[in-house]
Amino acid sequence: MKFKHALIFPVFGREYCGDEVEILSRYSDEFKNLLKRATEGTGIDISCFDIINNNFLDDELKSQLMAYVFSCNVSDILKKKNIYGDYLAGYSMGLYAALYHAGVYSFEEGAYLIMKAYQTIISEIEKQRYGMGTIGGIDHDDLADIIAYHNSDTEIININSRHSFVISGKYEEVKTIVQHAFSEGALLARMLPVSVPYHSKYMMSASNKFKEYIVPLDFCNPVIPVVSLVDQRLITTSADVMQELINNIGDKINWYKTILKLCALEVKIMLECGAGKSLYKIGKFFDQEIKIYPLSRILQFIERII
Amino acid sequence: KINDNTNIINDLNGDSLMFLELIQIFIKKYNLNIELRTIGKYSVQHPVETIGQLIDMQMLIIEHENNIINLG
Repeated sequence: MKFKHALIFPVFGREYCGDEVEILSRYSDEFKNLLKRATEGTGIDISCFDIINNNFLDDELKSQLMAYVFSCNVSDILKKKNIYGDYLAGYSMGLYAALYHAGVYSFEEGAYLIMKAYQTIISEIEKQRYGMGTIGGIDHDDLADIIAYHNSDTEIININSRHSFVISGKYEEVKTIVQHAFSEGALLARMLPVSVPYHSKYMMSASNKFKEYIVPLDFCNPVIPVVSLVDQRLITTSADVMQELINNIGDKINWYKTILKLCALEVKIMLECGAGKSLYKIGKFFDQEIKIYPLSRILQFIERII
Repeated sequence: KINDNTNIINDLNGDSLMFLELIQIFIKKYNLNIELRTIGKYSVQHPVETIGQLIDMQMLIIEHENNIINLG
């Protein structure tokens, strides 16, 4: 490819476009096989996935595994077309698919890690109701002021762009912040369909427990550099991988800085490798000269340039 | 065919992010002196659902900028 390009991997979302399976089936007949392999590798049955009637959007773990399956399917298709990416980045849990693409572990191992991370989190976090919200259309300082006003423990755990944020914490507190942000002029303010306070201080114990599990594991060095969502360093060794997997649970993330890092690395084109088009939509708020292609356009784009 | 009565959510498959994007494009294109949250506060009092309502709001923004929030 003439320009440097990055493959970016989304997190599980609140809705599908609806045409993902159909798009993938034009280029590969592996989707059902990947569902079967993920089922066998984790013991979590996702083999009966149907994007309309049985899409698991109300089951957090299955949604994460489905996001992984979609992303890995796209990864495999692109690799067959010799599209590997100059750099990779995974949005939150999208990290697992990014590392699969980078050759760090097998498909089954990545699926198992997702399941293990989720189970560790559920067993370790204090038993209370948690939530996350997304807020768009106000400044970071305005949002911080709203949180301070309520003397809340809610945290801004991700910055998507200059006016788009993700918050995480106890459910009622997050809901209060979301409602207040809306009344203060946030054009986008809603709760996310998750029950775990990802990337917040409430995940510290889970992060430490997960560390105990993965430290003895063997990972391959990434064959393609992965940009860390936590501190934007380049992940190029198995030690880096291990640290990022641990940090990805309890540390705050910054998608905006990650994109800026990719731009600094002269990336002009980004391919959203997965279901939905959340990263494509977020990308519309960047001032930088980059093009982000969602799944529905990636494969057409690839055919034009090959 | 898009007209004043076209519903942004139902007819154009729009969402809050798209609305936010349109507003930011608009502010940048016309170099307007208005904060996003002012538009948000105005929208809470005067919900925008159709293309016609969006155009009306944009005309008001051009005319009043940040003072749009003081309109009745």
